[in-house]
Amino acid sequence: MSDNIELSDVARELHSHMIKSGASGSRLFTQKELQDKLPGNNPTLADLMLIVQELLDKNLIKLVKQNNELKFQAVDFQEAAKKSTMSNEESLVYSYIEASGREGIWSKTIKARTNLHQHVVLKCLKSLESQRYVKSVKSVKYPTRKIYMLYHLQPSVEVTGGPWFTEGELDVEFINSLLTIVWRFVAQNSFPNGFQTTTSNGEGNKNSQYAPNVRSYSTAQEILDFISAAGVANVELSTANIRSLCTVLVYDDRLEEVEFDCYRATLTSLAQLTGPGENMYGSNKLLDEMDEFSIFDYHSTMGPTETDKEAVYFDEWAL
Amino acid sequence: MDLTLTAITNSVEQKTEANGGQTSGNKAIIDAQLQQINGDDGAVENLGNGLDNQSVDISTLEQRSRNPESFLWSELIQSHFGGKALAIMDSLMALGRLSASQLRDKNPNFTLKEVKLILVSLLQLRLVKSVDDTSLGKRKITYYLHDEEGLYILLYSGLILNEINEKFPNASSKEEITNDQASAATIVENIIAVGSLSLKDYLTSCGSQAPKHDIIATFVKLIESGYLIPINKLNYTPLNDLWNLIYEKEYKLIPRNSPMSDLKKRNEAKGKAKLQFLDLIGNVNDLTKTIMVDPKTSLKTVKPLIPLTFNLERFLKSRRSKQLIKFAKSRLGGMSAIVYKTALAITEQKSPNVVNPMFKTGLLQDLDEAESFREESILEEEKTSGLSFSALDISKHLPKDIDLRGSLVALHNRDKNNNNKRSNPSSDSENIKKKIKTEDGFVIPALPKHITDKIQDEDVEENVEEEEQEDDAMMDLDFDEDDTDPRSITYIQGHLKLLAKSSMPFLQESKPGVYHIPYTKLMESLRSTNYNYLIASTLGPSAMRICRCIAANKLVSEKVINSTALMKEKDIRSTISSLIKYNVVEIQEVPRTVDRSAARAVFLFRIKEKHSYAFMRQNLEWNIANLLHKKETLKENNATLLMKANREDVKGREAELLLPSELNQLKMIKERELNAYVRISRVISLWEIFNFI
Repeated sequence: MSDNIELSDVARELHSHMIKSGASGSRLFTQKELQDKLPGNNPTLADLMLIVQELLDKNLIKLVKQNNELKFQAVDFQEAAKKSTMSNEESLVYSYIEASGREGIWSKTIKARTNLHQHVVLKCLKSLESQRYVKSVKSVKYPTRKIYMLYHLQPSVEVTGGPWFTEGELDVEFINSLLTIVWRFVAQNSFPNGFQTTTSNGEGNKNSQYAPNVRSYSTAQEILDFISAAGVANVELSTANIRSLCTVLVYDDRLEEVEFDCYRATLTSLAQLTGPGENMYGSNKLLDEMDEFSIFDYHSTMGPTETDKEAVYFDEWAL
Repeated sequence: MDLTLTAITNSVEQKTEANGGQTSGNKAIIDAQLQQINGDDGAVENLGNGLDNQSVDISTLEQRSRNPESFLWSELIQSHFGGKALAIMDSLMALGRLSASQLRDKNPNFTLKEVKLILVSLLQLRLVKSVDDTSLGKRKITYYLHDEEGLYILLYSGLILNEINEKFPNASSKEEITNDQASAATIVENIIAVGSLSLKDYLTSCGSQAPKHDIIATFVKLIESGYLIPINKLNYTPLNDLWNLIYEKEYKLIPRNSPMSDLKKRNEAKGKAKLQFLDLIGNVNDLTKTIMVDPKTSLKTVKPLIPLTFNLERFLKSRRSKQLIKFAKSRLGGMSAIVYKTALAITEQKSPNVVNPMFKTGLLQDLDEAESFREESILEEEKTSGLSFSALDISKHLPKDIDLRGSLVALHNRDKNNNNKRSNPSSDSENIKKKIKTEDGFVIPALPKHITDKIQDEDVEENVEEEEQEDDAMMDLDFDEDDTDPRSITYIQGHLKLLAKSSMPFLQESKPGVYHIPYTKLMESLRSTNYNYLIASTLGPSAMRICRCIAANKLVSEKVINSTALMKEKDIRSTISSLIKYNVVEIQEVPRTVDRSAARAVFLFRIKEKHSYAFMRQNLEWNIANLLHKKETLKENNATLLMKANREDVKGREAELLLPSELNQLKMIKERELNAYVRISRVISLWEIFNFI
């Protein structure tokens, strides 16, 4: 690619020097530094200007203003070739999109910054998009805006909204399946019999628990390890993500937080798994309260029938 | 009652509006809510059909607009005492305290004599309290006001008898007929029916055949356990007036020319009055006043002339215990609940009152007072003797046939697996061992065998050390899973620890091995958990999630709920709108523009427990009243048939004298009545949590 661009030897040397000394060409050079790098004795600023102008014309150097000081940044040949094929407007639009980095830029902002007509901007964006130089992404914060960023960049968490969002929408299905997985994992660790509390041999009726000295909780890290090992999520999750999942489960009263980051499943949540009529808590004739009505067993009761004239309704009074 | 009808439906369900213009709009929401409640249960279909057929009974607008409290009390009085008493009580409930002549003015159908007659019976039944007022001139005017205690006793009467029967079962069922008069339930039933009774009255009414000693013994038992107390003027005096009287007296006792500031004077009077007030209230349960030793038999007996009445406070304590046991069962399972039940049974009688009498004095208006009451009661729970217990105490009172073995597991499943692995180190493990590759593809050769062996040995040693440490920790707790004693102390200790360590403060360990029940804190969690589950069962689990999310974060915006509860904004909005309808959540508006335009304002949500609980209490109260009302209407509609069935000559020979259709109708009435009773008792068990406990 570098062969396609004709350069004087001095300019080529300076450019390759800049690319090499800065890691991946991102280092910024001051005017003084560049001057020192020029070959020959005491190169003048005028010499430098000529060379820099040459590089600028070929899009091989970028001017950056930092702390009110002009600085220079090398651009690699591929990038330069890309730019050289663009029209002036396109490269202007491209430069703004490039500057926005992983945050992306709104099409209206581009229009305002470039002072170009909307049609022109749209045309440029269309052509850039078709050449796969830029792409449009959906922002979670502003779902109605069209946000553009460079094609090879991953949108930042701010834009995507983190692992819970798929294409800008809260992925409730994904969250719910993860919630179930997390809860099942924690529940398995919280109760000695796991889910087989009512086994056929009748022993399971005596619902057993871990003794108080047993560590029956699971930490967020353990849950994360389990989920990563199972490979259920196609996105990278962190302990913070797991923590927020657990918080939701705590709100649902399916988990309880024992200490920071340590979670236990609640017995009520386990009872909700069993169908009507089954007694999760173990039946025992010693406890009359076992059979008495309790709101905590609401999930195992049935709704009133049509002919039921004595049904009580929560919203009858408040209607 | 609950046992007989286990398949009876849930007591609190959504109601769909079957008529009116709002139907179409409401139906969609309600259907969605119903789906949330019942999942894919058949109930949705049923209610859906109900909507179309309009078969769901909707109460009239008039009923719905009634104040739940007065609706409940009127229904109760109507069904127990009929119209005359209702008229008087209605005026008292609506207008507060009234004198007899004022009552007559309000009810022109009655003469003053009639009013007074009715008042006497109401007073006897503790439905009315009286207070003498001499402030206006020299003439003493007696004012009457309704007494909720008597009304509560009426409401609970069935449950009270059930409870007494459970606690004091008949000695032998064979001699039922002769012993009936000596059974605790009969005695309490009689006392409730007439308000108060002395032992002598009861014995004379029983006749000469009655088993006198058994009756006396039952009386002694009932008094000792606190269910019966001597009746005194306190039962007829409003506590608020009593407090004011004592306070005023104390305040006047401080000399006028004392150099103290008025605030100081008031505080001093308040302090003294509190002591006197509590002293007066506490004196009621003094056993020495009621129980003496019979000089003839040297057995304990009750002083024959003291009129005794039912102690509602004591009964409420046992209701509270029941609620707590249910709560413990739902959080920690049956076995821990049995241990907890035993603990509650030991301490129940001495436990603090469900309703602190000081709360009725109006002193709670002062925030400092309210806080100091709270702190005081927390301290009292810990310090009062008889409220703390250890595992040993529990083991003495545990039911005889309980088997705690296997209820606690001392080794975690994952540790079990680890142990197995270690005990039979598989030869495979070496083969599976990953080969380590460096970046440039160089494979590190395995270590020579004698070195790996050495390393493994070290590992094992380390593990053994760790395990020993773990074992030490276990020894400290003194827990042995292989204990063969089904009621062993170690198991009880384990369960007590579980209760104390639970996220709900079931128990508190005041000293190592000594526990007490922190009622003040526990009741708060009991109330909020019950409330949340009520919401979950009626408005769906998502409502509970949002509710708890708001409670945890205090004041939140929709965005916060969106990010912490991980719900779609659309769902959040629809759920919150129903939560607001039931006063669960409050909205706070934060205007962003000067003109407070609603479009630009931000809305925050918060939960005010006091308001939402009060609303829930009223809602449940109204439903109890409505059930009573439905039951009465049912009876009214079938009055002719019921009268026929109750005639002396028909009783016992129904099959011969009634038509098959009448028999069917009668069966239906009985079933529906039973149904109503079951539901009333269920709704009561929810309502009491927000009313007293």
